[in-house]
Amino acid sequence: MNRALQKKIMGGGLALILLYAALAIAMPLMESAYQIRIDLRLMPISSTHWLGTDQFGRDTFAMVIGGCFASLSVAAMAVSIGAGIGIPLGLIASASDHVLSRSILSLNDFIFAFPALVTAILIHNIFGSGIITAGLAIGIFNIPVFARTLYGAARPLWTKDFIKAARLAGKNTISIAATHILPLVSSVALAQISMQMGLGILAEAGLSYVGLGVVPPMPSWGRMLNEAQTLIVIAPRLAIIPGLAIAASVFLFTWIGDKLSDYADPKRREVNDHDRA
Amino acid sequence: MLIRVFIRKLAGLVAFLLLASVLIFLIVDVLPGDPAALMLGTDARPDTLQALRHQLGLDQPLVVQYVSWVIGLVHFNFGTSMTYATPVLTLIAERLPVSLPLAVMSLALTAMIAIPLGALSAHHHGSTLDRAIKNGLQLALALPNIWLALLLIMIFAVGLHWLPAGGFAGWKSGMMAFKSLLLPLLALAIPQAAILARIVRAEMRDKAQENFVLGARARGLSEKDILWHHILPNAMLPVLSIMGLQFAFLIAGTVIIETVFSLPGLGRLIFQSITQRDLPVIKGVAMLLVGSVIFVNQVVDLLATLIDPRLRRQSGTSA
Repeated sequence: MNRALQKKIMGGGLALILLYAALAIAMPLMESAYQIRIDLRLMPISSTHWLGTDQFGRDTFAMVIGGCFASLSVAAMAVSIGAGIGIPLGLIASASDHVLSRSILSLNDFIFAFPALVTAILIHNIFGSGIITAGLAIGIFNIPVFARTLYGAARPLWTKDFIKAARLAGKNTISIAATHILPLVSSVALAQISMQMGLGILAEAGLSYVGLGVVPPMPSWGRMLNEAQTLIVIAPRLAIIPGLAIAASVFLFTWIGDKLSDYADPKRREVNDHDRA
Repeated sequence: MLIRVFIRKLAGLVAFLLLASVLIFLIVDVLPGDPAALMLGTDARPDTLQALRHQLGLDQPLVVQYVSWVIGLVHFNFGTSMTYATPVLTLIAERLPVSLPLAVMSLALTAMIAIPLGALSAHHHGSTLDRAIKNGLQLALALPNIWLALLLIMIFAVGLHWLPAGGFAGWKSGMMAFKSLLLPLLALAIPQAAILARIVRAEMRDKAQENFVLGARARGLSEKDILWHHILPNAMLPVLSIMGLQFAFLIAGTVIIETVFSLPGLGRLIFQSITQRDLPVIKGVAMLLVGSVIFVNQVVDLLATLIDPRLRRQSGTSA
């Protein structure tokens, strides 16, 4: 794949992400459309209800658009926590001596034992169900993901000659990390951010499905799947539509994440170019 | 040397379990304030509250509460459920025959799908087949397992009537029990298999560039021989550690998928105990889930060390 095409794909992906953000911001405008209207329940697809209505008479199209907000805000919160803590941790581990780097890596292994669902169960008593619980629970699990990726990407750089040169020039570790290491690993970090946004959307859907995530009246794709389950025979579209919304968004983010990490790793890019040749 | 590695892993396991128990105790018992008030609701009578506090041992210092809980855990006493008035461990033991096979079998199925698919894709890299597999995996990776479960129910239960849409009649029902678990297994394994197959492919492509492959080819071994006896075994080590990490996802996934299929497993117990605010059950199940993830990952780590002698010198830093 040539560079120009790659750039086009990236541009398209970014445009789609912006579209998603716009949809999420448009959510409040949709609010009147997903009010409970029992008189309008289970309406088929029509020109007034583009995707029909559910058993409470809420417009499915408006719910899907509204669900965007919950998904994106939980995923964005989770990624902010994960990247905000994980990236510095990974960089510190990559730069430090045996003891510190090993303790950070062990801490990572430890946090890995707390899947988002378990954390959500534990903190549910403190924060209740909602964006905060879901975002925190997923975010905590994201910390070791980012720390490990950044550690892996940054570790080999510290033995390179240009870093030794920077040391000879009198720069300290922190300024080397900020001016030389971070720019080189930023594409790896960006790829991971996109990947974790996708996985965050998946995790939010799971948590909301079981009632630990976003709760009504705020629309959520996971919740929609839950509510559609009993109607799977009469109105299968109610289960199919939110699932498509989740799958499409996750695909978008993970796919861009993949493209970015190909871009970040010249070796892998070469392999893939070779593959396509 | 090996014994030292083993002891170090064991020490790591104990340290992690202790740390997890402190965290779970703090989050469930200390941070929300008064657990007794939490369990009884805001309009509870003061004497009932006091009685429950005494029954739960909440009138004792926090350290005493924590230590007695951990001593209980060590003696397989997870406390008593408030809703069922039954030992938590009994409740868990009743549900494990559903959840444990589901989690273990889904991990096995994940590997059974992912390894051949990844190997096939890596072996035919660059071909149409490889591209098709790669795109398929990218798509499967994005599928929410709940949705996949619902689609499987629509097709195989509602449409074709081949398999039940949910419920579980117990292992005594024989073939029926297996049939009830088939759709949950597929829903759990397919997205995870997509993740794992990508790793298998990437690792095998990576290993295929190494000198030992060149050497094998120079010795005149067939490409098939090189793939199965040289590339695949060498790619297995990172794949194994990814599978260890996937176990955490499968544990969480199992709990959620059990809810979709109304299986009488740990999932149902957890969500009931959350609505009932049954704190001893929440603590016990959380400890069990976290403990099993820690245990599996330490075992995977140990296995990796046994397989690859190079890791012994630097063991602990390995994933």
